[in-house]
Amino acid sequence: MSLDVLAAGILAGGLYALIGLGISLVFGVLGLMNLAHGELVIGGAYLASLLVVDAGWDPLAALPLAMATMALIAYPLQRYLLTPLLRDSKSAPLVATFGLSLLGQALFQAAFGTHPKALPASYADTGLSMLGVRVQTVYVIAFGLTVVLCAATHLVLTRTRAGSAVRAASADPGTAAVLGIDVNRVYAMTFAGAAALAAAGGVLTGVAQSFTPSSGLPLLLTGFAVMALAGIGSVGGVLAAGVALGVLQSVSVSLFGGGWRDVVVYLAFFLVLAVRPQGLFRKAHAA
Amino acid sequence: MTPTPTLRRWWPALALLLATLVCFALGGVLDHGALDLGVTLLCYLAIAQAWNVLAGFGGLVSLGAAAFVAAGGYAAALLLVHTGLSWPLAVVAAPVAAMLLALLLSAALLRLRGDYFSIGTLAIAIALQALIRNWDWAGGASGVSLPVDSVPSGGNLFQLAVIVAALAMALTLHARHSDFGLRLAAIRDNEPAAAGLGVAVRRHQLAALLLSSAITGLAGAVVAFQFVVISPDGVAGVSWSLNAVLMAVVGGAGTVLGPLLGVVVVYYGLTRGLQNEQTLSLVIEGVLLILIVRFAPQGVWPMLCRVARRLLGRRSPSGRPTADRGDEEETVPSGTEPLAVDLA
Amino acid sequence: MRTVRPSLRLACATACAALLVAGCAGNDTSSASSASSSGPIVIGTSISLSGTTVLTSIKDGYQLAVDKVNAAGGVKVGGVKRKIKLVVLDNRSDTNTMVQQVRSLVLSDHAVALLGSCCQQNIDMQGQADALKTPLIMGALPVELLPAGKGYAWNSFQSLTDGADKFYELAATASTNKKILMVSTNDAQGKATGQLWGGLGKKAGFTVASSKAVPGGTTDFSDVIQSGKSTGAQILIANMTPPDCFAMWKQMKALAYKPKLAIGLQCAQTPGWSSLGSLGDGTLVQLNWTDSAGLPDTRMIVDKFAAKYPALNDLGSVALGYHEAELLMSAISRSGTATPAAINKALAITDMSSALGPVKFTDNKSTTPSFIGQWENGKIQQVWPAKGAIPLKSLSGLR
Repeated sequence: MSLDVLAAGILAGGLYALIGLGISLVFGVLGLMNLAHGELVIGGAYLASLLVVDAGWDPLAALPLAMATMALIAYPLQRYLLTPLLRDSKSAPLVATFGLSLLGQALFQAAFGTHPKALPASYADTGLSMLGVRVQTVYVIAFGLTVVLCAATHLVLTRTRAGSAVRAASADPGTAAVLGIDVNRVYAMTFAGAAALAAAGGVLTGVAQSFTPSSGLPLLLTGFAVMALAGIGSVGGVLAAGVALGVLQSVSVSLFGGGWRDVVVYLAFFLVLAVRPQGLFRKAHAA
Repeated sequence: MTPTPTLRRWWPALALLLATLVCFALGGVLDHGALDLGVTLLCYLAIAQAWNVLAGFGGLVSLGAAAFVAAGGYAAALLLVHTGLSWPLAVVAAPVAAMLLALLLSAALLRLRGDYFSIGTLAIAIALQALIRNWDWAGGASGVSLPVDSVPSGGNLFQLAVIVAALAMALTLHARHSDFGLRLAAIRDNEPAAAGLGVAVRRHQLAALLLSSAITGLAGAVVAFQFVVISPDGVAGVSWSLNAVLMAVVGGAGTVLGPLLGVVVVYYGLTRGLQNEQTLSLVIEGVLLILIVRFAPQGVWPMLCRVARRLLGRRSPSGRPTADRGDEEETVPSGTEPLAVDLA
Repeated sequence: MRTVRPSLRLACATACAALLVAGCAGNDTSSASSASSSGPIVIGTSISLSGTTVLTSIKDGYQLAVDKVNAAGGVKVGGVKRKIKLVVLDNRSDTNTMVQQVRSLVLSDHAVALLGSCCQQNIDMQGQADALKTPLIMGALPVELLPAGKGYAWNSFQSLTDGADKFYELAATASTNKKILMVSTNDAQGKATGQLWGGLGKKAGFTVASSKAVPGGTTDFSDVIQSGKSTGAQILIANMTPPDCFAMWKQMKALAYKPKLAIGLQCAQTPGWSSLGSLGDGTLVQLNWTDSAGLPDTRMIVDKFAAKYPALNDLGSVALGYHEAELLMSAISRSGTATPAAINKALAITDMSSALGPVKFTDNKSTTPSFIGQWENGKIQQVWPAKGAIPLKSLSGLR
């Protein structure tokens, strides 16, 4: 396997991590498996396309706006739809997010049509040579941005009052509520944050690849894989898990051929899960 | 307190037997279109009930029903194609194959807690689909065609589906009324407490997993006979997993009759009712699913039971509707209810 | 109170069972109309109109042909003019739904014949046509990929062989080292296409320097690109879904892999290709229809749909739908009785010309002409065969 291929795997892992971070956050804090996460990602890409394709903005300039808009859309969804469901049963929110996912796809189809779209940018199809290895510029940007967003998420969670509230609500919502924390609000803020991260992943996906109304599902699966590998509650673990997944894909493609990629990746993923249910990158202690 | 305990105990089983016999007899009466639709509905019923036993009663929320549909369907199909055995043997092989797959995976799967179990089963279903795509002996990506003349069709296939669905219903009744089911529900609601009371957690979960996959595999064989041509996109497709969850949850997971209603609502109301609406169908289905879980989070069936009970309760002389907590509701997962009391 | 409960439960159980049975029985109300000799003749299709593949243009073609026939009073069967009723069901790109829909079209709606969907779904649908003994007319699947069955599926479409031959003729006119990088999705269509195009390439004097299989949904092609670079292949044959090609084209440019010719089978036909901007320029596509080749009914299709579908390829899909539906209705007319068996027999002796060109079936297949087109400034133009074509340009997008 050549170094180019390995480097591409590592860098692709950055994008995987960014998509997994939002899923992991929502699951860690709310205990919610969000089947509509893929649509949050794609939604970010479509929002950005309004500015990039129609108004000629640079995708990176559109990125903060797409993040903020997705957060604004996501907040009321969690506050008024999903949070009330979380109390009632375990599978009801799962079905609700599946319903949201269908709705999102329908919305994209109606508003943007079904043909694939991409976000044009000067760095979408240029390359960089670093230490004799040639890589795609947009993936380097995505990796850097992922590191920044992971660090920011980590700092918010550990260094701010809001972050302590999130961690308290995550550890024990009952006690947190007694201590005066508005758990419902914390949940909604967390979901909004995750949606913003998803949107960032969507914009970069749109630049590096392409998107259609139905491209959410593969992204969701990737995100789940990252979350499960990382374990709950560790932002650094998410980054490591994304990179591990990227490398695993590259290695399996080189060793067994592309046709076997999904077999190898998902079996390995399942085995890792079984051997270390708490995730690869997390110490084994009680959640 | 109960005037006729024996009758009460056997009532559900008798009702099921009666319904099975009636449906079985219908196999000779209905026309081809109705029979085919019946087979589809009965297969969904079996798969949704199998999911219900595992998830609704056992608390192991699977997103991998497709893997066991595929195991059963492919086992039956490959036996017919490669050995020329008769179809009843293929039907027997299907649950065996599904159980073997479950047994093989159980050591790893049952280590997973909560949502990790869901993700693990999802990963297995995807890996299996990808594996079949690469497996030339199993037809690879293009799939296998069954010998049309040596598989049951029409009324015979319908009757086979009736038996499979009846087995699934019987299993659910068992999970609902037996000590096994009670212990399973105890594990679901509070595993440490159940273990503390001496319930063999792993053994019960393994039993639920094996029984559930056997029924799912059986349904897979019926699907293979119905489809005649099976391919990784079809029999191993993710839609089986999703439909199992949707049907059981919409109808009422953890209840006996909920999934039955769920199959009718989801397949009839959503999948078929909306098949001419294109994009609009996605909107309607999405909104309906959200409304259902928002206003009937335990499922449509328990909600109907509650409404019916309220109507009946109002008329009853005792005037104590709460005294008659419907059977159906007792085992609905609540997550917050202390469980140990019920066990005593 | 306690004694009420079993009866309540029984009532509910009965209600549910009744619902189930009613569901079963509810369907035969629509029956029997086709069987009579004067009512409308039902034909049906389960086609993907939402989800990963959206074939609205093919559906529009079906409807166009049916509307045209009905406007003229219907199809003449055994001396009586009968209207055609086309039932269109959306299977949302899901194979299971497709199978269930096809079965209910035939068994409950009593459709006497079926029209196809696209690609892999057509392969899966062929088995149903055979099992249900109901004729199925399809396009949008290269004729070589129609599985050998029991003779109820009919495919009138372009062939891989013809497309490959035309592509290699064209490629021979450009100056390349004749080394090919072949990348295909690992589904049935991808594998078969890869093998066939590779074999024909060898015959035409080209060599397959590297051949790679990728699962659908691949986003990282560095392994493929690496092998293209290291083998020095100057001709790229990519046989994948559109999103995969999008990702690969961007990555090729970024990683400075510069083939001299590139064709995107299955993927570069999408009108969305233009959103790649100049990167997509010069990419070749295999077309089943162009407005410059003088095919029948071109004028009418362009007049009716050019506003709705500005892209050449979408118009080609309308033509395809029109073509298949016209073939079917001609066979229905010639069948005399409009029963599935009679229609199937009539299809076998089809000898006519429709929107995609002349049709005559051998082994249930009939090859319609292929064209090679090239993307330039957001449009596809025919570059081969030379008649009606513009000259081949260089692959500017990847340079």
